[in-house]
Amino acid sequence: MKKEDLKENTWFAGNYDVIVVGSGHAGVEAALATARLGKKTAIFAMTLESIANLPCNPNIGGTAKGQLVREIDALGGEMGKAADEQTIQFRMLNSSKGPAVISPRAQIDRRAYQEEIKERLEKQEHLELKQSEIVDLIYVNDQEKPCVTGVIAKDGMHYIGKKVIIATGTFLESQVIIGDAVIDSGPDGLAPSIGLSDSLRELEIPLKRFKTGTPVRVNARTLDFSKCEEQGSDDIIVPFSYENDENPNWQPKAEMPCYMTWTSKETKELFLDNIDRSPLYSGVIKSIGPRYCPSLEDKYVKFPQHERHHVFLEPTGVNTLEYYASGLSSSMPQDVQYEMLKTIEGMENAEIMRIGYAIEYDLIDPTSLQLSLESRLVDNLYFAGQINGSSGYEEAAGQGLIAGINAARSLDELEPIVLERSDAYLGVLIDDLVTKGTNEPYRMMTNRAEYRLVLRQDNADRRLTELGYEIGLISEERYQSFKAKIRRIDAEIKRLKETRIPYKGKLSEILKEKNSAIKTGNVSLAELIKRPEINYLDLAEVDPERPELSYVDSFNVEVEIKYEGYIKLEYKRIEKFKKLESKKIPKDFDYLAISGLRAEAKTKLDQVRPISVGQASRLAGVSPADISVLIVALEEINRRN
Amino acid sequence: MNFNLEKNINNSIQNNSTTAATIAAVSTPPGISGIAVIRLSGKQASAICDQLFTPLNQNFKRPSQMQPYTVGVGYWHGFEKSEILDQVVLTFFKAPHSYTGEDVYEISCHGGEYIKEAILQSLFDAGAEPAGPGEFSKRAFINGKLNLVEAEAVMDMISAESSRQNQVALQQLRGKLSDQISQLRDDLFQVIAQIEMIIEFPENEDTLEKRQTIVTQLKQVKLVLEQAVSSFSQGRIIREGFQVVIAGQPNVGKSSLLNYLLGEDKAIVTSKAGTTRDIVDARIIIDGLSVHLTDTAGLRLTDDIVEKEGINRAYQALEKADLVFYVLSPENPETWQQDLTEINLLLEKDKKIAVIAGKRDLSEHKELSLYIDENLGQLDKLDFSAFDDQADLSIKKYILQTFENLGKAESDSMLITHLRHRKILDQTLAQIEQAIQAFDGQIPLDIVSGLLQASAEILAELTGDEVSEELINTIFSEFCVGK
Ligand SMILES: Nc1nc2c(ncn2[C@@H]2O[C@H](COP(=O)(O)OP(=O)(O)OP(=O)(O)O)[C@@H](O)[C@H]2O)c(=O)[nH]1
Ligand SMILES: [Mg+2]
Repeated sequence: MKKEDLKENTWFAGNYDVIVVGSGHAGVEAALATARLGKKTAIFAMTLESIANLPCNPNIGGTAKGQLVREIDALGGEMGKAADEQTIQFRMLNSSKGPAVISPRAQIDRRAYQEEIKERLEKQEHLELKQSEIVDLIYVNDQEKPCVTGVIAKDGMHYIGKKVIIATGTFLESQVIIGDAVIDSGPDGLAPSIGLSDSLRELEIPLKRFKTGTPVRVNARTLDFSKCEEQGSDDIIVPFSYENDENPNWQPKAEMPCYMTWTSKETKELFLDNIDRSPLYSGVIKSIGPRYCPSLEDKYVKFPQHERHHVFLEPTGVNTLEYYASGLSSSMPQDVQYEMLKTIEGMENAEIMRIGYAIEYDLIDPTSLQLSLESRLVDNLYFAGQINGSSGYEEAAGQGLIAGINAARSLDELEPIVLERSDAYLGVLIDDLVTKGTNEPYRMMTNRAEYRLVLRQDNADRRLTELGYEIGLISEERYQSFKAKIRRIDAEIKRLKETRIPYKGKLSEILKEKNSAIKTGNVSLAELIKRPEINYLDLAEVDPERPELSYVDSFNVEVEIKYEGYIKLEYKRIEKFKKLESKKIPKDFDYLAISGLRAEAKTKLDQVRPISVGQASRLAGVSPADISVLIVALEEINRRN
Repeated sequence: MNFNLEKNINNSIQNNSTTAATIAAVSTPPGISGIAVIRLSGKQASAICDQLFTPLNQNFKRPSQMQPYTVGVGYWHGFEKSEILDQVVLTFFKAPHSYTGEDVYEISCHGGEYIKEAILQSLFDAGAEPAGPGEFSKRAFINGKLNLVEAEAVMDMISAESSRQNQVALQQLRGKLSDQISQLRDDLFQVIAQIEMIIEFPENEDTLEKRQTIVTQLKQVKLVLEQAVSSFSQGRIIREGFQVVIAGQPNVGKSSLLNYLLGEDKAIVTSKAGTTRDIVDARIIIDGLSVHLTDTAGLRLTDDIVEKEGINRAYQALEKADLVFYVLSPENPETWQQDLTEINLLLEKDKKIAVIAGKRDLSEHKELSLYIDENLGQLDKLDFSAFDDQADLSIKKYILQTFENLGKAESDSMLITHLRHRKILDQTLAQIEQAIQAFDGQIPLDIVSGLLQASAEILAELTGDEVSEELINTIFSEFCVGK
């Protein structure tokens, strides 16, 4: 509501630099970042029990998401460090599919993770953690566009803040749908957040509605794991945080296996027989769900050729028997979900603890944001996480971190941090959401990144630690140890290129065993590593001078050598890409005066006001021909000035 | 990676409109000429002209009062009306219907260096700024008067010998070629999608079998690209001209045919067999297509060393022919058998041959015509007489048709005429070859996918689906000051 309309009876409860609404993964990162950058911050949770909840899958990381967690860590975020404390199983995914897509994933002790984060918030200087539901925004409207100045809580208190970050996840006007039951509820039976949507509408921020879903949780006492395939941790367990990477004492909290089973022919029949009862197909759900995280009924309809689907039974914590049944996400009526379990090997007698459901929620159209994650329509108002149309904890955390950093930088009158698509998945994520928008919950995938061979999980620190340090979220100590590490790796790469050994003795034995060519004379260790069939670790025996490197570092060394040529090629592509990205467009550029632009492009460019020609080129409705005109126009202006 | 956190983007500029400055330059080539044209473009153009131009008499108006697209005649002064420099003709083009899309005045003055310089200086003194290379065209481009493809075509036109050369290039670029390249990109994206499916879903294993299917598809793409690259030699026809070689036995009327098409007596014609010894080259333009005609020595066994050498050269010329006019005469049926042998040899070399049944005016022509129909029915036959005024048209039409069909016959594959396109295709091909190798060499899928992605990006530059700065720069750098 407008500041002048604030009723006398709302009690003024505090004055902050930054107010963060919502304490999920986005809110947490945002609040920690602003507080650590010295800004007096308040973070609001609807209930302190729901902080950093993992209401869907009990794991962090995974394909492309693991890269995000490492990037968050390299910039000084919290998710990786907290996850490392609560890891109960670890796998490096996609090891056979290549260096760019290899991704770490950890199963997480869910309740303990929430406590872990809550404690970190509580201990943070400049940060106040508050339980209160924010239902309205306070704003003034005497400038060109409205400007947010604070928030109002349901209990009538109001808080004044210079910057407000909205990170309410899937809670806005959310409804849970199970069969034909539609319940006003947030995820996990938590209360929905009612009111804030209206407040956003009042500020003319465009809203959309998405749907997502989650599968049943079952009691392990009633599962027959002997009928399932056990999947333990990898032999080598790698922490997310580069800090723990350096720490020889780090180890996962526990070792709990996952179990794999399959849906059966009967499951398929059951679903197809009842498909008209699915709210997705009966018309109860009209919003759009995630294509890349489909419900089981979706899978049966969209991939009719697949007879059966994986089901992963994943532990949710050390002190609980509750297991998450990955792959069974569904909003079918309860009776169908009960019947479903009877058709799955190992789950025949499973006892449902929480039923699967779909959830619908309000979000803002992310194309109304700037790349800093500040709204284009309202000053001092930032958005992060699922409210921007993303899906997933890691995507949320990443946006929270960037929104927090930029809110703090704005208070210091510094330029916002905008990562490029060639810098980080975080750059791809935000650029995709803001520039292109999304029609479904946006999940990060490796192929959304044009330069994924450069955006690897093993070099996220090399890409971003420097920036994290300059921003002020990476400590001097960590920065120095980072630099030492980089020197170590570079020296090792150099050494491997320079060290030549003869094709004799132990080496020829190793090569023979690996079916690798044996020639005469000498060969450098680097040349050997370049062979697809030879790994860095394979050569340990013939390479006594090798220094001790952590697993991640030795992986980094190996990738840099093995794929050197391909990586160089990728950098060439990036160079080309950056040419357009580095052509900045002045903020007050008058697109309407450029008659060579098509009308559609003119309107779009004028509305979005992209920061660079590169960003402009990704806008829907702007053609390559328009971009060429823009390039020449900008050049001419620069030349003339 | 270097982050400059303090970097402050230049957020404000005085005037974003490129028309801020009014620009001037001499638009005709340097050197002394009868007349020269100086072009002035921009918002201030009429105000500037008003200061410097005095109408000759009441029939002509002051520049700012002139009707668009009319001329004024008058005196051009130095700045502040100091002296009369020249008597000039002024043409006014009003925005947006001018070359640049802005108000444009063209001053036609006398072509001496001094006058041009002096008038230009007066314009600068009155507030105009010197135009940079290609700046008029850039303004035209920014103002939507000229698009990039057109600009590229304009460059072709400047460098093309004949209008046909450019038309073909343009037609290729706009139509067929773009479509074909888009198709190729689609094929590549198909392959990429398959690879990504394997990468994205854990249940999809990276098997040898899958790799083989993908490689097969890639090799198909590679084949199309290779054909396209090799078709660049067809593009050569457009650039270098269509080579038509006239061959046949002595005295059948080859030189007469050449002279006839040329419209002048370039080659010696006599009734003696073996008149032509050396190669006779001539160039004609048929409907904008540049055609090189080559007359050759009559083919026969001979002991004369000069004639022998001439016949050798005839065979060499035939090697390079895009089209052979093989001439037969009704006068000597005893040699026709020999002609069949020569023609078959040429056919083996994949030569395009048209049989000219010559000397149509002779009564024996009927038998010749019949003989050709029976023995060479699969070839095109043209009846011809050097004494027939109408024959000219039909032969020229035939040449044109043959050239055009050359493209059509290959309509499944691409015709590359432009060096820029050729370069892009070469690069793409190299990338795809690397990808195929990587596939065979157990290189992980994500890397192969990256290589293919790179190929698709390169191809997109050809069709303009991806912005190519290189193209923009080349195009405008080839324009000089005044253009
Ligand atoms: N009746 C008739 N005579 C022709 C015609 N064309 C050429 N001749 C005559 O045929 C003779 C040979 O003509 P050329 O053009 O010199 O023949 P050629 O094939 O070049 O002969 P070589 O150079 O000796 O190989 C000349 O006497 C021409 O006048 C024609 O269409 N009709
Ligand atoms: Mg002759």
